[in-house]
Amino acid sequence: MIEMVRGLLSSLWPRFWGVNAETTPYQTFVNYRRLWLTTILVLATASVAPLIVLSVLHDRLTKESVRVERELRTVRLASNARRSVAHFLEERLDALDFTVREFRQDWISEPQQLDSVLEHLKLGFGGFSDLGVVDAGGVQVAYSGPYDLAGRDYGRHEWFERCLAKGTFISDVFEGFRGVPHIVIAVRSSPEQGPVRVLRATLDTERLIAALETVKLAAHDDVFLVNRAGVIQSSSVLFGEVLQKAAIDVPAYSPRTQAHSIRDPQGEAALLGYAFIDTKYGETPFLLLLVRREAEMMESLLGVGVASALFLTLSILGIILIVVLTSTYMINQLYSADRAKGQTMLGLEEAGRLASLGRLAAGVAHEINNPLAVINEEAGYMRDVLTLKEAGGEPDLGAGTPSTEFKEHLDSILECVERCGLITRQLLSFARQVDVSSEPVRVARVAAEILNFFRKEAGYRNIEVRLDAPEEGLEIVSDRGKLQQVLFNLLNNAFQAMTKDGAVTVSVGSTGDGMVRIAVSDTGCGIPAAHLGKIFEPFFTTKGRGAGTGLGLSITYGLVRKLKGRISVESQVGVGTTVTILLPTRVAETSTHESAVGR
Amino acid sequence: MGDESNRSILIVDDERRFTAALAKRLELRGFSCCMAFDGLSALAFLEKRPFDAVLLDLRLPDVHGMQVLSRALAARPGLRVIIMTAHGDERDRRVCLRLGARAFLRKPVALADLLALLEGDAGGGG
Repeated sequence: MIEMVRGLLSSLWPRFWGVNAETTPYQTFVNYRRLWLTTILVLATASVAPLIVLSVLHDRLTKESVRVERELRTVRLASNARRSVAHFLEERLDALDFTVREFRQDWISEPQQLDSVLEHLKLGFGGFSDLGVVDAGGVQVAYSGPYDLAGRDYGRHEWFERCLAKGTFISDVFEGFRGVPHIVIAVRSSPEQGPVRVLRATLDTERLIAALETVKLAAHDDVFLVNRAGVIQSSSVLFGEVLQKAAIDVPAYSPRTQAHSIRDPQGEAALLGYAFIDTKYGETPFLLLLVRREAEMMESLLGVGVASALFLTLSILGIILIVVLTSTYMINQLYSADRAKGQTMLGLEEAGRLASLGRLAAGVAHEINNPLAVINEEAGYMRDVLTLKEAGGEPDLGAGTPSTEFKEHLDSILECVERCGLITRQLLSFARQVDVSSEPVRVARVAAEILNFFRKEAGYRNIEVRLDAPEEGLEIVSDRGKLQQVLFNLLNNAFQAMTKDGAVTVSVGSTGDGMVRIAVSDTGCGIPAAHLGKIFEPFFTTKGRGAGTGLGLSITYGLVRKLKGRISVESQVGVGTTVTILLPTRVAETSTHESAVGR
Repeated sequence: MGDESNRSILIVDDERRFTAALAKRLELRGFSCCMAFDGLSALAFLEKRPFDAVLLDLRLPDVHGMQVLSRALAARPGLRVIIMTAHGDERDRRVCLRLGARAFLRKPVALADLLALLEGDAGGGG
């Protein structure tokens, strides 16, 4: 298990994280970390962003549809409640209307008859507390109920006038003599039935409230009535008791049931459904209010929200995991390939060093053969003379004695030995510096030494060799062997670019900003512009098959980079080529990467 | 050793010490030698005198030895030319032999080999 986790973690984390690629030559992508991070960032953004946008859109859409659905439901509930209340009132007004039409005034004004009618109303409809008959002058001519209200004059009362005018009347809720909320309803007889009279009844509101309660869907729904001034007509859970002023703005009249968002007295978001209660007899003073708290309605949605948030989080985590795994894998592969290429190039660099040593050795062998040939002839001649003498002959030595002539020949031999010694010393100075990584090096002197290898060749091909080094003592701390190899390769290229006649110039100078500039110019064939961009690439060659490996300049490039320098080439076909190297006067101690790369 | 005393040889080499010492050694063995230190004077000698053999270096300060070789053979087909060089490689050897050189010797040369080539009626290969 632990092994599995470790394996997963190691495939998430790139191998090159701790490697400083800057010090490793021949690598194409120097900053793998940035490449890795950029890849992950781009891929993750591209895959996660649409998911997030979709989720947000979906969430909004869901909430919006839930809101609409809730509003519709609230409206429907409020509508139902409104119908219940309207029905309750209409039923009782119908009963009074029937009574006032059906019975003659004198008959109904009899106390026994009125008691009987009230008894029937109570039994048939319920909610009636008392019943009175009022004549056209406003005097209650008959009364049945718990109080003694017979003979009371309602002539100046507003309700009476409004009932006479409109035919019916419904009062606001008021607290009667027993402290119980009541409503008064009244119905006038029609004029064609003879003298006008008004039937007046008091209703207790318990039945009305019971009718409202049936509408409630949930315990926290608050259904109640207010009048048009906002006074509570049936007790409310949230807004207070009967006859208190409700802390709510009474909406403007609308014949339809409506709903909108409000804050309840506790400051919580709630949905208010409201309906003005109208009956077939006309408007009533009542509004029905239905208040439902948002939070309580949202509870069901909360579960869905948590589930989709969880799903989203898991998806994002999954995507990021896959993106990191893929990126790490791919860039690890890239890194490995690049590293392998770097290793190969290091090997080729070594091979290149050996090859240039080999070329040098061949040149030296030829160079040594000339003095050896002289020594051979000189020594052979002296031996010939001595052999002749022993045989008794007298060789013709021309002018001079044998000893003076022998001296000349011996001098010639010694001179040739000296020449051979010089050549081998040069070769040794080239080969010697392989292991030393940095030491003070006189650039002009190294350049002169390397040029010496080419002087003879230059002489035969009538190529003028110039060393332009005004600052004789210019010194850099660098790797002498690598510098020699770089110069040897560049001069070799310069000589290969020319057949006969021309000039090779090596100029050495400081640039003034801590760098040393070494330029090798020839007057050879030049490099076409199309090739200039590729000449440092490994295996790029314009020589025929088998003539060149195409490694010379790429190895030189690698060496210059190792010396922390820069190399550039200018060339014009038919005019010549100048290769310029800029080297720092001091190379930082960076021998570590060679062991890191594993040479 | 004196049997072939009438043999005349032209030695062409810019290494004067070498040329002089070799000439003396060949003269001790009965040859008559002339020396030229560059290609053009060698060709001038060849126009004036009918040498029996030419010992020719390839690297000369003015013209290349192979040019001297081809021009000399053009003027005198059948001339015995022996190449003696410190620099020649296998390719040079093949080119010279194709051009008509009798032999291709690498310096330093053992005198016995050279004498064998000069005294033999038919010059051998390299």
